[in-house]
Amino acid sequence: MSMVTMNHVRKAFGSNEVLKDISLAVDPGEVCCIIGPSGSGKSTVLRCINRLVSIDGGEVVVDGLSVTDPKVKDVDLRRRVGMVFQQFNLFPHMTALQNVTLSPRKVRGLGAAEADELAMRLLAKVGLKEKAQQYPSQLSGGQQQRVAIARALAMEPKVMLFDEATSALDPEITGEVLAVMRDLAAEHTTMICVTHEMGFAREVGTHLVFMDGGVIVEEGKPRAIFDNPQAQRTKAFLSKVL
Amino acid sequence: MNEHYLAALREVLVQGLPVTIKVSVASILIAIGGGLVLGVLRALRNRALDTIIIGYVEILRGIPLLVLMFFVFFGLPQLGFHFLEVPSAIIALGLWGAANGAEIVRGAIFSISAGQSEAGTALGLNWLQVMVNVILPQAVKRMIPPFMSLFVATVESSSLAALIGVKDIVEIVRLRVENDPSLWIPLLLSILFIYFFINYPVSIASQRLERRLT
Repeated sequence: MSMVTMNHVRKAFGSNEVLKDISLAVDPGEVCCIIGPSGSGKSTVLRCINRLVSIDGGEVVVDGLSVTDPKVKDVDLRRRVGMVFQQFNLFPHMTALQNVTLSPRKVRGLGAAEADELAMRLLAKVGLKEKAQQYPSQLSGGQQQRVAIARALAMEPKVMLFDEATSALDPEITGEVLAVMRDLAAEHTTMICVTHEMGFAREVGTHLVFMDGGVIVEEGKPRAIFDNPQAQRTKAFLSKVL
Repeated sequence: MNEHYLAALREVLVQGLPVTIKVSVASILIAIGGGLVLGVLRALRNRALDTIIIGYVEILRGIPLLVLMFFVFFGLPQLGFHFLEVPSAIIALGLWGAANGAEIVRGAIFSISAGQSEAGTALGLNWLQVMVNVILPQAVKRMIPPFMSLFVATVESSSLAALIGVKDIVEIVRLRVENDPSLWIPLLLSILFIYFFINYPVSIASQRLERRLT
């Protein structure tokens, strides 16, 4: 069974149709990369999965829970979905450790000691154990994003969403964030990544989706699409970014 | 004149000053509490609530404070609600302050980037948890300077209470000079310093607090 399934999803902001009939299935352990020009609806696809955005039509099912089902509680859905943002969005008034423990304590109900232990383990995993007591303003962009990844992992989610996680970083430090994402992929974490990192999409991705104008133009194995794109729009896009 | 001045000043300090402080502090507490509740409710973005709160804020900020004070002290008794002078002054100043406070709190909350509440929401926190854990701790810092200005404005405006008979420092001065007009200038200069010495420490304390929170 798929971890995330989207069937004929539609979404408009006012008169602007952002998603037109999106259907997509992501299996457990898959790394699905979504590429495409800006404004194509990629970020909105991610936001539909954890109800940050409500959909106008169609269906999204996450680990068996339908986002349109009013009986499905926000918290049950969101606990299954970790999200990493382009602008990190760390809480500036909390240390790295407090950022990571917030959700375990408030949402999962872990005790302080237990939450701290989990957070330290995750900060070690992203290589930032020694920065636990630092505030976001004391960390570099790459370090902040790695804390944000640890914060999302602390929910022990079933699927991780990455919304252009490296786009706000200087080119020389995108590598440290991508390395963490590679580690997660190697552990068979289910991931959906909106990305401009074509190298990552090609090498780490197991599934590639090219979106343009609110529709999925082409999808399949990353290598197949990069080496031999079928649609004209995919060809045009790839020739510009590769 | 010297003896008269000293006696009058003593009366201003012993009788008037506690009243001025009491009215000001009670009013600002209502303003902060009311402002927080109204400002946070604005963040719910509920249309009906917004309309009610905007209406309250605009009306309260749109009428002269003195008219509001007269309404509470002279008007409400006609409707069956009786308040003494000091409570009337506190109610009027508090309601006026809460309207200004609501705008302060709303402005501070909305100045926190949307990404913050989005991140909190994505972590599974509910609306109230996002507000309490993520937004308000950041917004409070931005509320301190405007609330400080509001306190200063409240202290100054508390002098209007003299007109409904509250025996604050202004009213004591006015009663004293009735017998001896030569006291006008020394007493007015004196209360000018008194207002300054109430407001200046507040300003310093708020700057310290603001620095400590950042």
